[in-house]
Amino acid sequence: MSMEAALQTYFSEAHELLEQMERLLLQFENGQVSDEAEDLNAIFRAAHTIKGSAGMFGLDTIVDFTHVVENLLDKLRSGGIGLTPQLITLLLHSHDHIALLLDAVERSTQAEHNPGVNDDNNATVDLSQQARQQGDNLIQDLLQCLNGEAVKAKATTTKQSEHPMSRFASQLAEPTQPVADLVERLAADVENDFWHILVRFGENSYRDGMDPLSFIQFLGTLGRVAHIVTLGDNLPSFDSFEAESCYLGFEIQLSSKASKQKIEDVFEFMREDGFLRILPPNSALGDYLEMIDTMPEVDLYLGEILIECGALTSTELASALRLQAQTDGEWNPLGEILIAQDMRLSPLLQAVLQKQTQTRENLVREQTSIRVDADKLDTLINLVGELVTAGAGTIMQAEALGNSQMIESVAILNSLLEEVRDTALKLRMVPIGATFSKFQRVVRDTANDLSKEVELVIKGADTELDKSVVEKIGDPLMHLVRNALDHGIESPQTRIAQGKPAQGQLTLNAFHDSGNIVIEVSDDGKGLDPEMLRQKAIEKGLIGEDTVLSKDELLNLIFEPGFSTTDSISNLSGRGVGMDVVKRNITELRGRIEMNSKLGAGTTLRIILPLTLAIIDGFLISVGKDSFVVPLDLVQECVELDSRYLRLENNVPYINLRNEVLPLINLRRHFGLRGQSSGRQNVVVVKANGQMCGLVVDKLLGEFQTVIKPLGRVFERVGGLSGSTILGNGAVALILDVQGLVKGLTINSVPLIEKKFLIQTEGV
Amino acid sequence: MLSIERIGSECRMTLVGDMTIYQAQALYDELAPLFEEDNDFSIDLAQVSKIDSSIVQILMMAHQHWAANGQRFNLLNHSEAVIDALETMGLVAWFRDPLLISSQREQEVSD
Repeated sequence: MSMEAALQTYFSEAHELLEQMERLLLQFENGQVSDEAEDLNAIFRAAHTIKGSAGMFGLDTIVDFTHVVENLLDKLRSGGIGLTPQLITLLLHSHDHIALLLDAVERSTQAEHNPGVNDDNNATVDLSQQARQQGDNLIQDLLQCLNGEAVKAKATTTKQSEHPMSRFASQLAEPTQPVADLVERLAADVENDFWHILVRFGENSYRDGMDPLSFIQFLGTLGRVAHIVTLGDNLPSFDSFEAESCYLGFEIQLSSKASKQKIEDVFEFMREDGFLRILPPNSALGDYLEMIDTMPEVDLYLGEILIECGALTSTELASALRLQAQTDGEWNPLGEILIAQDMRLSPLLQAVLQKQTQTRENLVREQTSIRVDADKLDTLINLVGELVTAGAGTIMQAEALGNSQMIESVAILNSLLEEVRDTALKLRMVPIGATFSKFQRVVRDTANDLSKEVELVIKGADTELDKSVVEKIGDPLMHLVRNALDHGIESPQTRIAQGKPAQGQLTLNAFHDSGNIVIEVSDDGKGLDPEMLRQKAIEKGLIGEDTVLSKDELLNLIFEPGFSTTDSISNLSGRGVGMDVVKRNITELRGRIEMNSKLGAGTTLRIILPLTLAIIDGFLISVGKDSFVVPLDLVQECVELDSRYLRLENNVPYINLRNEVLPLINLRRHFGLRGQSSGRQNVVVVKANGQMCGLVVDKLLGEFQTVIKPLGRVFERVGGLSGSTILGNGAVALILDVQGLVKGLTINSVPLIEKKFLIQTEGV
Repeated sequence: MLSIERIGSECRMTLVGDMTIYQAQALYDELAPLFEEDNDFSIDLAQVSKIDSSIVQILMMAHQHWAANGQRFNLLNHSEAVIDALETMGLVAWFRDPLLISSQREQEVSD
């Protein structure tokens, strides 16, 4: 592992730890803490690990700051002070500052590796004066909370004569042996995922017909014995030695995937008069110490064993032994000394210790999942996409040949293909919970800024959706959440006056709904007043004074560019950008947004998104020689176009479909395609944005698994198309943007379509 | 099972055949008187066809005893069975004896 790679690992780990820290702090604030001591420990460990690892890389700015935070956390942990709301806020700010420092280091590291981009001056930690000041203030506050306790450690970030990054930079340039060694060791230790087995055979083992050797050999069938120490210190001297008694014990490090039970079973027959202790991989150092303490081994063994575990360097052992010698009065077990002297041990030991604990916590999760490179997954899904396309082509061929056996086997193949497709797409699915929980902090901070009391309720956190969608949904959601907090939920006084509980409620909810995922952001705030929206829209010149709009249409006005409902522009929202951006973002994801609002009772925004962006079930149609695909879930029905029933109303052609008006779009005319339709035409009835519409086409070709390929830049501005796909025969079919077409029908292009249609109908 | 040959101040023993718990008591009985002696010792293990941990622990005990008294005690010409056992128990380095990992044949040639 190179220094750079190690550093990258550190950055991503530190960010994870910071997230964990934030989450736990917020839980404390909300009083949702299950095990206070354990959670405080976890927060402490997070800070501790960030500091420890930063120390290894010589990132002094981070070490110095985090050190103070850690001291405070330690005091909290030991019950020296209580966790007050002020303290939580302080710790959250400290958390932010650590994140800031990390980002600064990360940026400068990147600059380091792109020397062309930045000159030398930029290649150092680039902290603004303001950020430094902020850090110093935080440290003052933290120290104050420590009750002026003497924290002699390098407590200020300003006093270093040598810039920490320059030191780090020189290390990067020519990694000195100790540093390289350290990193190597760390990597090795982290991978040190061994079962630790301590076994001492009973004296009568041989008499009972058991040979320890064969136990160890058998252990080799469960995994690899990475290291074994035969403990011979119990061997008596020759005169009291009994040849048929067993005096042996072993320390074994086993690399194995077997369960603890299985390993225990190996030693089943000796357990009665022997001693067996099995530590799972990644046990904390304390567990090792405890285990070793229970054994009557001499200190040297303890030390050796710890070194074998990779938890201790020989220098550290030597210093610990020295300490033991110094406490001459009473004899302290080495383990206690080590634990008591924890802070004096090198960052390596601390890092390993933290790593072990952390890994153990994650063990259950990791055992059930594997990390896969996102690129590999994308390649797989791409290939599956091609496979589906090829499969669709085969079906077309088979049907053209008309061989029934062929058609049957292709049908089986196709159903399997669909399963493979679905499974492959599920690989990309991630729960939305992680995205949701990020809003805990947003809600807390925003509510504080606005002096409002808000509780965030998360539902459906395990609803899964495509990773690419998750990534893109974050920003729109942020807008919606901030809007709800700013505009939706009232101040506590107002709420009480209206007979509502002082604490407002913001709910994030997600659920699946027939091929779509629905994400709801709802608040129990004041709701939207359609009349007020109307006034506002007239003011802004968005609608005319006498325009008649339904309630839904009025509500939808807030998605118009330049529309803002509050008079006071706050930091958070109300600048009139936001909702239109939200709507555009969601439309880009092929989703839509709906709004429900009841004056005085609250607002619910509902984002409806497709589950995946890669493959859709399409409905293949053709106009002349050109093929088009309509997303199947938008297709309501298909009817034959009978020109006798064709009507014109307000210059829009329509037919009477079971006593309802069905406006029509003629695709040939709309896209200016050549040729005339031969024979009868068909109408594909589609529904989008609650509006039914008929697409006039030549032929209906049936369902088609469509792998969406984006259109090139040339076609970016072409309306009514959302992508392309390749048919089984190699031809290109364009995917229709039905929403766009329907919208065009109801607003701008009505006159255009109508004119074309007039010509068309004359032709028909 | 055990033969003893004395060359000057060195006492050279040779273990032959299966050396397991069934031979342990007898081996111990033969060795016991030697523990009082002032000589250097070595044990040739070339002809050991099978060895178990009870014999290994006798060798460990002997090693500890003589090492504590400053006497030399070497294991020589480990047979494959011995190497296997010592490796399994992680004792190769413990005995500090040079180990010929080379094939049996080479040892036979040297014999």
